[in-house]
Amino acid sequence: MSDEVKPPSTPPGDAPGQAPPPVPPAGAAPPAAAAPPKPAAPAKINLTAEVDSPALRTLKEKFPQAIQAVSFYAGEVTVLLDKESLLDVCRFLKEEPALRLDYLSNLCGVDYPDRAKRFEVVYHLFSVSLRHRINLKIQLADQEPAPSVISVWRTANWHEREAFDLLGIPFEGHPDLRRILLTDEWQGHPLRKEYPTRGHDRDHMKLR
Amino acid sequence: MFRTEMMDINMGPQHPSTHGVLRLKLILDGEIVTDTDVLIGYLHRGVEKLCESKNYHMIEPYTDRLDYVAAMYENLGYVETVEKLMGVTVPERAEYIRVITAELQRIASHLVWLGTHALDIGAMTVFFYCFREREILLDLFEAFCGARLTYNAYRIGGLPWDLPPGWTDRVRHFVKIFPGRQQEYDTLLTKNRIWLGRTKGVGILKAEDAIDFGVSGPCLRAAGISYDIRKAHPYSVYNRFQFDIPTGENCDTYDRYLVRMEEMRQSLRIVQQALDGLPGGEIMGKVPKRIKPPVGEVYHTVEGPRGELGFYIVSQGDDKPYRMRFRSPSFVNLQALPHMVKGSLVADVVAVIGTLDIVLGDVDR
Repeated sequence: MSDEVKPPSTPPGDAPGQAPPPVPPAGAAPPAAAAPPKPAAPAKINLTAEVDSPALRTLKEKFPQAIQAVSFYAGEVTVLLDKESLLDVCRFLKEEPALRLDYLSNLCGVDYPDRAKRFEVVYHLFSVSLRHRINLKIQLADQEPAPSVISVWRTANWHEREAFDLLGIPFEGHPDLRRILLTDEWQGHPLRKEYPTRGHDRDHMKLR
Repeated sequence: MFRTEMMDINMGPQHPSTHGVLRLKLILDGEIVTDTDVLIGYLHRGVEKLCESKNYHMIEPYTDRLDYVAAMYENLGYVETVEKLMGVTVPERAEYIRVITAELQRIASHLVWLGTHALDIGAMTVFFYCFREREILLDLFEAFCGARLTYNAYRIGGLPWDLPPGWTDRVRHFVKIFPGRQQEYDTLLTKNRIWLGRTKGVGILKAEDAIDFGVSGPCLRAAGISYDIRKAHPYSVYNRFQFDIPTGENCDTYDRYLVRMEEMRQSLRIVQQALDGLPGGEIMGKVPKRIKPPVGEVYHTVEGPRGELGFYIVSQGDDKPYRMRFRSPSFVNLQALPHMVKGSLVADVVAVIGTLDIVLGDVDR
């Protein structure tokens, strides 16, 4: 069943702690041999460093009450928004001449069943003419509808249908919200964490 | 008295020109398409769900099976995303080899597109010519990684193998002969009256609609938008190479044909430069055996042969991704199909499916 390869006794630590041993460049003594991975760690890029983003600056000016949190990772800016103001923010970001975020790269949902608001919907925006990106996020409880952004970007149509299909997130204002990848009769939403990987009613199927 | 009414016709899922298991429900007024419902999902394998129970190394073979016509590019996008998530730097030699193989893959993928697209429209010879050259490329890939279609060719942090002996000479030979071969396709199609009649003015997708629909890749560039991720956000070592981004003007199937033909020439230029500048040295960066990225999430895009290939990974600090999302260009581009075929003939639907260059494994995931 378990398809995970378990190396013998790995402490739940960070990646740099378990760098492969054959790295010491100089013929150093064993205590020094444990040290080389350490200097390698500061040389690594600070992944959560703050980056400057024109879209974030403008958002902070125009919609200070809508922003709930801002996070940075590997040069990406993600803004957690208030669900109610999402549509206004999206429309503004698309139409503002200095930002022109006219391209919705990706839209998807993420399930965090332990949270009170279990779903996150992530919007990856991009500006084709100005070449900058920003990610938006909203949080939703189960069965709580998300505002549909089809009126802003038509491409959201299938992305939202997919999030509805696989995660069961309803989108308010979607003109054609039906399953897209699975059959119409399908029960449940597979990308929810409680959905078994092998599927319901598949117990009789044995893996070799 | 004549009575006219709309007719519903199912095209696919078993239809030779839908390039797999695509089903279109066409609503016809005579032979004119008034509306189209695109029904997908026949090839849905739940890869995103599967990835949540696999560790990072085990996911790469799954990416092969998404866009199986350009698996090398899926591998590239995936390993780059994990590397970005972990902040790993890849040795230069590995980056160069990745670029060479990925660009050869772009040519191979465009050859499949050209052959099948022309075959759908009725030009059968091109198909045989294209697959003749693709065979050389598949042999090269086989020599490089042992597989002809599903490569699993890269590793997080570098490459599993260095190039086999004599491989670069074989690639150089391909680079030398391919322009002549491409001339042959040109002769067969570019000024062919039937080809012009079947593609000119067919499936028009204007720039603003293309952006609104999220269409990317050659379909966007044929609408006059000079947007290529290799130039806009250079990943790997693409910023070191000279190449042009071809764009179209008329936003039609013929321009998309010209754009892809030129892209093959540009890919060849990149391969040539990468071969000339191929450095020696390591092929694997310093990566732990067990990949455990820190808590965080990234969305990384690469310019696949079909367009923007996006990978969104949410990591909770575990050795498996918490959420894995593939933003496949075929899925997004296909959404523009009803808009492109509205008001055209049924025969043009075939041309538009071909020009969108969809791979159903990529659409349905």
